[in-house]
Amino acid sequence: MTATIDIAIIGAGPAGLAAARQAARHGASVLILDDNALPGGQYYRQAASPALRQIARDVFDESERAAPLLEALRDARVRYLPEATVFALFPDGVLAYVRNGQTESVTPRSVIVATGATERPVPFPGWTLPGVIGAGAAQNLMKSQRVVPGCCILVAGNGPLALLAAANLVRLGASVVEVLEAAQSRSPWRHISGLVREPAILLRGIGYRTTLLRHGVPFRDGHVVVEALGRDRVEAARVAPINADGVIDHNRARVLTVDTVVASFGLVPAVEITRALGCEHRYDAGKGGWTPLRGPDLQTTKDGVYAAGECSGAAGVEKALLEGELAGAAVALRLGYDAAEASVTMRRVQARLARLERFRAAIEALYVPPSSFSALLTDDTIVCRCEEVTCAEAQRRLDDGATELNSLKAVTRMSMGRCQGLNCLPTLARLVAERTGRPLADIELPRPRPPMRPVSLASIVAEPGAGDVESR
Amino acid sequence: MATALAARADIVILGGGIAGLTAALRLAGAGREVVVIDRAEPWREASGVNAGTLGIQNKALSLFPFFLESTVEWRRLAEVVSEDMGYMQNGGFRVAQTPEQVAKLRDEARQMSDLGAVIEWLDGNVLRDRAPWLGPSVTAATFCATDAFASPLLAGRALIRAVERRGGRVVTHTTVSHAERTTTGYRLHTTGGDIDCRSVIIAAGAWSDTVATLFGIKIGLRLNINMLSITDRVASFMDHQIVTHVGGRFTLKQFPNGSCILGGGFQGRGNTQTGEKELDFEQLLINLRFQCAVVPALKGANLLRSWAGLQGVPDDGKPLIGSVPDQPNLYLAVPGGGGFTGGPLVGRLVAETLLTGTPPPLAVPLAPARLFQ
Amino acid sequence: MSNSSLRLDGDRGRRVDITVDGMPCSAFEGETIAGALFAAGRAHSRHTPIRDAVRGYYCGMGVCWECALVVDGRPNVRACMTLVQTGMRIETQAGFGPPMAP
Repeated sequence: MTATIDIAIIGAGPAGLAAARQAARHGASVLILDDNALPGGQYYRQAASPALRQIARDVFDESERAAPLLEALRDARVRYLPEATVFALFPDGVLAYVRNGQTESVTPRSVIVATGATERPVPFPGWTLPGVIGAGAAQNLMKSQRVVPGCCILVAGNGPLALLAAANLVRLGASVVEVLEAAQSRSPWRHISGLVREPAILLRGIGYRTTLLRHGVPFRDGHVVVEALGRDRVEAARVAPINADGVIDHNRARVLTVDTVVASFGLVPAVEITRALGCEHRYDAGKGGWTPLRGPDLQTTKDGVYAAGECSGAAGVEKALLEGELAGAAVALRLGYDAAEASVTMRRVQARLARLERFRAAIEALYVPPSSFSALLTDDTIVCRCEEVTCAEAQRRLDDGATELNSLKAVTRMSMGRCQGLNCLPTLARLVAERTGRPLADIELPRPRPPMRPVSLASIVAEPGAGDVESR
Repeated sequence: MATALAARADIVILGGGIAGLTAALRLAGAGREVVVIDRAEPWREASGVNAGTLGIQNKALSLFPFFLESTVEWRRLAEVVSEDMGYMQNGGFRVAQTPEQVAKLRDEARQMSDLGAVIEWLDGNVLRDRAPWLGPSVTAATFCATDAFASPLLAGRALIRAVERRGGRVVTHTTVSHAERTTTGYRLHTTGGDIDCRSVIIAAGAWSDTVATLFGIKIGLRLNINMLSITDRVASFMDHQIVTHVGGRFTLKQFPNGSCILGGGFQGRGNTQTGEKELDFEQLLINLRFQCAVVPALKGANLLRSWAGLQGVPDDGKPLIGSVPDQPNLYLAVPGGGGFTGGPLVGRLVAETLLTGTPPPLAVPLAPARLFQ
Repeated sequence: MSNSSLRLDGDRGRRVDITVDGMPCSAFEGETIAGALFAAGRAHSRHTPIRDAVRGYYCGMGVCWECALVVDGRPNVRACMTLVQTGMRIETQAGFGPPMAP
């Protein structure tokens, strides 16, 4: 394919859609690639059929709420390709992707990476049992399938997403036994100056707590799930309080009878594409880990490559939307479209983002996790799900003197499976950091290699012309 | 592995890859005081990222005696090194698709047999029975029972530990900035301090010419940037045999863990100055299509990762083994086109040259002198 | 939500009949395999190749591959990313699953 495209946007979530809308408004031609079948990303995940869309509309009206954004996809300047997996963004600017069982490539003038984030893996004994699912997984079942994950649910983790998932489950009539937040109870008043910057978001959060309260669902600060129990699926969960000094108090552990554990420990920015490309990244625990360094226009250290939304730090949908808008305007400006208008947009959005950042910092302070979740690990806990490697095996390599993630992975094969390390690298980095006494920021992660997600070889090798390559 | 640099040693080996570590193994085994210095983690470049193919059928006929011995050397190495190197010797196919390729395959099989290899001819139903997973476009194949593979992931750690058990030391993250001749050998100035030694072996793979300039010599290696791909784990289907192609640019095997590794030397982009390696997407597609045409079952697997490794090769493609003319006690151990298969033999031959003062017969035509004429 | 099912109440549209490990199972148009299995109270997808441990739907967004199973004889199909289709044969994946067709 040789068509000239001004901007390729990777990801059709809030940031990607907002960027597309803004860039197209300024006159740029846009290609959006997304690996899902429907636009909206995780946040605006739509029900998968018109019939399902009518069910529980009072709780999930994503299609309607996202409507103004989805409008962008009807713009003649925007070409949207669902079910497209990015193979790689190469240093020469070629963006290769696999779609409809075919490999295609484009060379856009600029790229906006809006790949979102993935669930932060926090291993605990039994976390691989069927019935232990992430908050995103629970939301996805509810939003796109109109299904609740179980009859008797424990929600546990750290951060606002656990609260959100719990509130949604309760509103749909699911039985949520308890909601556990690992952070110790903190007075919101200490952070009130940041929180009041965004009254609408604050009210939403209070609404979630009220929902739980109204349905009599206990919400416990300073508690954590320490084990999921069961043979072929979750049958119970052991939970325990965390002392003020951050130590799990196993003596006060209780066993809850549940068939589902929704585990939500926050998000990790999806930076595979920018890391593979060699953009500079910096570690920031508050942003969820490694994020690309960006200028005020959201350009990364690679010329013409921008990053917007959760992939540059998980901070909620408002930030994703604003950053999308900013990146869209910045790229339009760069490419010579509508300079005056684009500059105005950028200044407005930048001011708004600064305010949002103060709110985000307050939320971060409210949800400070215990110093480490490593205490949850037992010898037998699986750390790498794909290659089935336990914590003890990882520790043995560290006993042998491994001081780098790369030497840890070579022998154990950890992080080399189908999830490409997304489910284990944060844990492995933590283990290496703790053992070597180095900060997490000094632990070099293996560089991601193409393809960015596993792709069937049948699709890659299919000759052009063998399938439908038309866009919608 | 965090060994500190000693003030002196008998022999310093620059480079902790396959050639350097196998040389160290032999020298330490002979009781010599050996220090291997690597500028980063050892085994991180070509030795650690190659496909692990150990075959003779895909090697140059002009070097056949060297490669025959190389496969024997690997087997020996896998026995000597007590830890698992992922070594498996289940034989390998060399396949042909077109009539011209079949003719070439037959001709070269005859030559290989004459040179001492045991090669079996397969076509028709016999071939289908033996390798039902080969695609219909494959019309003939030869089989060599000594073809094997090893795991580049496992072999490195196993070798390092074997060297250390024999008293050799492996010093990591240490760069040599300057080398000077002394009355007794060399003094190397490194980021970890100075070290005096009698002999130096340059075994820095694609970086060997860069390292050689520290000693005032120029060897001029050209760079191969070989791309490789690995699939997810799938049910075992090719009996852990390797596959190569008479047309070249094809290696395939399935490791015991289920992943298939697709190589052949399609070229990516990169350089030794930055150490960067990038894929050439067009070439990679050709590579993958070629693989799936020969073994269609691969289409049922998912591609997990593709990458590239740097291989430094002299103009004539052959390994560089032995002493450097007019540079007393300076040796080269560069596998060049001998690759991973030839690596351990390169290491042993250079060690024996150093120990005896005379190159073994196999090393004579591979001596570095040919570059300095 | 009705008591008998984890599907939320409402008209779910066209019914799609599938089999799960040989047993007939009803799903609805637009549902993913994961959605249909969870609605039937079934959380597992596969047994792992090394430890024979049971695993299932975990990340829900195509990243973790824990929900991989065998669909119409093809191994490693992600339940969370694949929509149900009439007549689909869904099986628990044992280890690597069936060998790939040549």
